Amino acid sequence: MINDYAITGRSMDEARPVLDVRELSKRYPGTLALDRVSLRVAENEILGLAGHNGAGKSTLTRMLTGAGRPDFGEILLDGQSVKFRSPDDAITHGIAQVPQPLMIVPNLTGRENFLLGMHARLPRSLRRGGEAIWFGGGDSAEAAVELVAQHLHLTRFLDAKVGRLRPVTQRLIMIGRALLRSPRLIILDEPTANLAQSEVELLFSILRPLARDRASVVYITHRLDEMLDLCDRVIVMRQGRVVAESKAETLTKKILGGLITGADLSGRVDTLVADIDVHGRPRVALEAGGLSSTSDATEEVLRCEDLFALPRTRGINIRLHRGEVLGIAGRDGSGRTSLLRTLWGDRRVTAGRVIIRGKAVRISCPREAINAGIAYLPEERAANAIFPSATVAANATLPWLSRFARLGGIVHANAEVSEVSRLLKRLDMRPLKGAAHARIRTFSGGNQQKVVIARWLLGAADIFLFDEPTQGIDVGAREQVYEVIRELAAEGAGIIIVSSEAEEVARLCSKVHFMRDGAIAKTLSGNEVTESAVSRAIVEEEVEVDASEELRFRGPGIDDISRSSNVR
Amino acid sequence: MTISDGQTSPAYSVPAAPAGASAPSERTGRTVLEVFAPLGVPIMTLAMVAYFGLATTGFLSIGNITDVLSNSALPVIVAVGLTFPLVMGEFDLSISALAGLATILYAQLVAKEDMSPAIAIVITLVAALAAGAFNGLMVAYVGLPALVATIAMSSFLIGMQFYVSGSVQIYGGFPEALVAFSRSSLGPVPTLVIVAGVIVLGAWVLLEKSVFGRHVKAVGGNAEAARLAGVNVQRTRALGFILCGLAASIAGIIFANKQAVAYPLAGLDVLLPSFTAAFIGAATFRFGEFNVFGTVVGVLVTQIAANGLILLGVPNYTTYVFQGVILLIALIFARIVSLRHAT
Repeated sequence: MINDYAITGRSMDEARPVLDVRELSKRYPGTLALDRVSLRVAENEILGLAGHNGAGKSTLTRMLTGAGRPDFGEILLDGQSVKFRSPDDAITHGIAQVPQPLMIVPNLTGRENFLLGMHARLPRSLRRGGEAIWFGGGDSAEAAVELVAQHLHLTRFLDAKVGRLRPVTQRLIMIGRALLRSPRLIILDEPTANLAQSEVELLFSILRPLARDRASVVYITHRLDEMLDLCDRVIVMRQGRVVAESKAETLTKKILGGLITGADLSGRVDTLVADIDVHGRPRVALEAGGLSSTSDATEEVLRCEDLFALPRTRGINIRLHRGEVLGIAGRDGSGRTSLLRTLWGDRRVTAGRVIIRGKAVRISCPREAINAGIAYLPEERAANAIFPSATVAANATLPWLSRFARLGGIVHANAEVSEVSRLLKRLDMRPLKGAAHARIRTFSGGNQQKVVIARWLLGAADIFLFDEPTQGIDVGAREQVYEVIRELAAEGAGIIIVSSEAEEVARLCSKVHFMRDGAIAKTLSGNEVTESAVSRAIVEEEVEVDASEELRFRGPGIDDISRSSNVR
Repeated sequence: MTISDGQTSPAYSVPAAPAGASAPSERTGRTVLEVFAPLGVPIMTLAMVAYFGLATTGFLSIGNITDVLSNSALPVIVAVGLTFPLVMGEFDLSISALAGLATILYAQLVAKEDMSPAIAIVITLVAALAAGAFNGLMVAYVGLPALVATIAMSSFLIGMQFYVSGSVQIYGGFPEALVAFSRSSLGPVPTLVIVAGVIVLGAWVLLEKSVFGRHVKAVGGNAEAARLAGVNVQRTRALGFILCGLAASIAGIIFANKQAVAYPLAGLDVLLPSFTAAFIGAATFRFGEFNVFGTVVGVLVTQIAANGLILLGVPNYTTYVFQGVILLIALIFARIVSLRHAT
């Protein structure tokens, strides 16, 4: 297959895609991570894969690189159906991945890094040499390395210790290593994560001819500018599904941002006030009803004054009132989760104050936050909130066990189960019969989230911190979670929601702060909070992040170039 | 999207649903492996008993059964203590040295220093508590890997055995009442078996029914989630090491009374047997989870095997080979099951 390609080159039939993914589905306990995903990658194409964390990109990558097996669906490579038994198997079939973390051995040279793990399993063609391999011509592994290095402009770094090279060079060495295996398709996962703008341009100038001559590329990034700049076509994923596919030249950053965050941008973008509440009533009616934007009239439950928890939280000022749902938006890594964790006592406050119900408090661990009447529902439920083998009841009551304890610290199981069952009924958990006794891993993501909500309803919290409350749960359960959040607010709780979904933020929040680099960069409130405005603001913040990162990296980056070329 | 939950095997869990409650499963239920895997150890045990019963004379005699039970009592106490760190994904390699030091320290105090047994026991337990607390401090608070921290502790404790005893064998002067108690029987049942039974029950209640046990299982099931839910993970881990150390030293004190003689490095040899037992236990009753009764079964399996092999007349060292082999089998078995879960 590979040899075929090398001989016939680009004159191959353009109509047949290199990669053809058909209706791929994958369910993990509690979530449908991939929902009938189909996509094609054409010969010599650079395909962008967009979507926020949890949208299914990484699961899709795992399926394509043999790190996981799909439940349903088919992967066709050059028209042939393939099933990967392992990552190695995927590489042998011609799909290589360059993962986001820098995987290089710093104390080995470029050449040694290239050949890492290759000696035992170089393709026969590589060992024997000859015209058959992609890079052609070489008659040994060493020669193949030289050729790849030449192509990626790495020749002068081959004998330098990789740890002393600058990030873009290290990244290129990883790409070169993938190329040595003669892939048909390379998956690049956030290759520019630690690169400055000038380095990104350098990388792109090498990637473009690479795609043209060598292999198709699937390019994953959160940076929309880069995606539109480099890619021929873009696919957007949300909630495990492909929600959009488009030629890159027909997209703008604004539209792409909207697709990723799920904002409805069709048609009259700027006048879109079609936001509705969970009952389908227009948002205007909701405000007239006095649920949300009346925040200043009610008691303040939480205030942050110049709150610092270095390095991720830098000078946050927030006021949260009873009945208010406050949104925190921004791109991944902007410090949203860190802010919630700081309020939860999980990060050390380095400066500033937190004032709860009028009193300055010092919260240094989650237990103290619980006692202060705060509840925190973390993102990445499976990793941060769920005990998969434990029962639903045990999952819910963990923070409140002393309340169910009788003499000698023995847990009163009946009281526990009946209390949890009562809450699950209120939260409309289905099926409810016997649910409290069953292990939580047998339930869907939506039901698991209800259990986590029940955990915090057991206490008397009136400040709720929701981090991506509907991540990985289906549409029906999503509405129910919104309903619960709305009810809690109506009952007088103050609620902060961190979300990547513009729709979610627009529907729930009366005020939204946008974060960048650990600080609040922009705030929308009242009627300004619309899907389109939110999505636009997230995208705007992203531009500025890139600029500031470039500033931070520029100095040392240039130094490195001269230093690394002098290294022997 | 987090996918790692399937890999946390020692889990935060409580007993399964009572009969009649329909477990609402949104995914299809248990696999064949999950249903039959917990039966592996009981079947293996029965096969072993049947084989030894047929192949040897006297294996199934009352006297021999009593013997096996009696020999199991002290290892059971140590292994049940070890179960607590294991549930939390930690382990303690200093148990054997600690049991040995408890034997020496207690013997030295009662036999050489003529101290009253009660005070000697209290001092010994306090020393064990300090050792367990230090392990806990190093692993839970300082963050050292349990492997190095507890090996270092083990070496230190072995040195202390020589220091405390002056490298001299201690014999004579043991409190007669306690010596007699350790060797007595209630009817056909050795008293120590009853003592071990009480400790096992206590440990079971602590792990399965108490608030502390819930915390232990929460830490073992998902330490990050436990921390974010307000569980003091560090303290829970440290307490696990303390419990483990206390159990080992209780066994060491009883051992001194039973033998009425003590010498450095001649104490209970419980390190490998305890780990073997706990891992066999994790393949029994609730698959992939360390549990108290499973550990007890694990000890019985190793003791039955040792006893049967002696009756068969094979050389003594066969026991070591056998123990190593079963430990490996138990580990491989558990690994296969957890791999099935993960993908």
